[in-house]
Amino acid sequence: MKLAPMLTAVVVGVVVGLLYSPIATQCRSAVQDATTRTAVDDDDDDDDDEAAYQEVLAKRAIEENCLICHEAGMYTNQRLTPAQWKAEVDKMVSWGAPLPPADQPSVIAHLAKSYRDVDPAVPPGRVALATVDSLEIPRAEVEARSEVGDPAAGAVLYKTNCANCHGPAAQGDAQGLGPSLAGRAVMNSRAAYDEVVHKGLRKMPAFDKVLNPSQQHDVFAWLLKLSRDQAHP
Amino acid sequence: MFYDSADSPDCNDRDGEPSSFDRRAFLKAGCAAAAAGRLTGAGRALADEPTQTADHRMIVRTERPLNLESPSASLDSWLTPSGEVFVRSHHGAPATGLGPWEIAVEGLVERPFRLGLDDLKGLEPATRQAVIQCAGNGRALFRPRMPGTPWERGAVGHAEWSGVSLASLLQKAGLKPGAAHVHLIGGDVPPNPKTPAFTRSVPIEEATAAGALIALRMNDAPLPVLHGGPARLVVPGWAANNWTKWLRKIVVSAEESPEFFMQTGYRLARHPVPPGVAPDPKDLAPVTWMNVKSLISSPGLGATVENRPQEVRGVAWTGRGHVTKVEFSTDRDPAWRVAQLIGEPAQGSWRQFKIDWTPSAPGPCVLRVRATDSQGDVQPEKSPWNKSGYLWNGYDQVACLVS
Repeated sequence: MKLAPMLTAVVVGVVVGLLYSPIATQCRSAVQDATTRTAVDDDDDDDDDEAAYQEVLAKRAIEENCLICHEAGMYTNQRLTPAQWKAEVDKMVSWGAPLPPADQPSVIAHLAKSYRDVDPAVPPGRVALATVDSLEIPRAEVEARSEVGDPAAGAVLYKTNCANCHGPAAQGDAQGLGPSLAGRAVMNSRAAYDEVVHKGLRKMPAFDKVLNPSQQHDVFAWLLKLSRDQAHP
Repeated sequence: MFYDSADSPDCNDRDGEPSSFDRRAFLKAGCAAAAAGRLTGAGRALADEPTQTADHRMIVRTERPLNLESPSASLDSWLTPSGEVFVRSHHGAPATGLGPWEIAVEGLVERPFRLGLDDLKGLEPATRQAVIQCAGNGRALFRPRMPGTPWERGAVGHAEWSGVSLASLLQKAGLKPGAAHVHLIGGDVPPNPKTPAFTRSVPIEEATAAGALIALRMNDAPLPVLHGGPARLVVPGWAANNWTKWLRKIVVSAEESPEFFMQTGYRLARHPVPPGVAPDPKDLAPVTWMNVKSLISSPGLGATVENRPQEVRGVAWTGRGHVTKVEFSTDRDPAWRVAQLIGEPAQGSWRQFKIDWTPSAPGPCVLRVRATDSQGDVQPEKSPWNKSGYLWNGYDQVACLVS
């Protein structure tokens, strides 16, 4: 996708969204739909393109802002009215989801259209617990090498490189950019920490070129210290 | 996604646990069960032997946080195996094993203290077999729908919990005048500073009278981390929103916890109001005692059963008191018949039941049960609607196919 048309489309999309979304939601009856369609028949293709583009933006906004803390099942398994979806998004934003205000109407519209209260639920997946490999299940196995780092040096490195998004005490960022780290299950998985630091994750860039392995040890050592201190407030 | 999808186009999953009333899911499961029936062959099954291999895989509600529901097959025993008990948390489990676990007791007490797990074991030991049930179990069965984890039937289990009594812990600390509630602080960490911590409180007198304990073991093994290990609160007869996991601190107070999950979440109107009507805030009370409820554990949802006399089994439980009666009927044969209760009643435990059933004809059939407790409460056909979908206790209904 070229940048200029994309930006134009974003601007047009936002303006169109702001101007017409309340009207659009009122035009739901079949009669009104038919009337509207006849009147604007020539513009159908443009409308379809626009709608498709809004969908892409909404999905991206969800991925970047909601999946910091959730996985998609959190919303794909819900069946709610538009008013309920708006209330859920509002609640999540008040709890720190960094969804920009400009994206909220399109995200709410996408959720309300895709996961309607009138639709049947999708059959859930099945899993044997013993086979689940997830950070949601902390494994109490701190590898010896994670103890090698210097927490004091890690504190300085953390402040420079990580605190902007994960908060000064690794409690997460009030603007919602990065989740909390101290005391969370990721501290039980050095492998998971390494992978994210090496490769980055969504909005988080890879830090391999910024922090050398020894510095990465130091940051982890400081996060471990924070986690232990937090356990004995 | 880490799990096996249940919606595979072929009919390989035998016990798909579809929604009770979802016709398409039922037909799909029926098709699966029919395939399984072919495998067992005519006349192969014995009267008390399940005709299908029971599927004990957990039902995935969400992966992050990890919310897993037990299938019928996992609830077909007196104690539910720990690895098959439902899993639920708001913010995910905390890191564990980074240092020694301690529980602090402070607030309105004469002698605040902090004890390691080994020292805790020196207090008054307590063991209870008790039902653990999510306040939202059955939320997906309410109409109109509401947001929240769409639990159907299996956010419930029965386990043996052992540790130390809450009363002995508070006695050691010495309550000061005015002490009325304990705030329970878990080790789970919200993902964001704006996200409320999952902090709850329970009233001291009522919770200790119910036999509240700090559990360190579950089913005679160390409490698994997914179930709140190394230490969680257990309040027999109360819904599990009160059973704080990963317990690290108990703060004694004159008041309830002011936090979100106490003052806004997990509150229920004493007098139900219809959708769209806001209940009087003064009428809202924390969800504590469970209500009377029963569940068919065999046959499973969507199972194919043979057209001959057989046994229907299940479990029933309540909050206060105990279950005194379970009744069974079907859509073909709607007269209620009384099932046989097994064992002795015990407050906070569930009771298993069984009843002989002879199908009236081949074809689809809906089995249903309802329980009555020692307070005289009877399961309603449908629970009164509430906006958060708490404490569903409508008749349990299992659609199956008589071959």
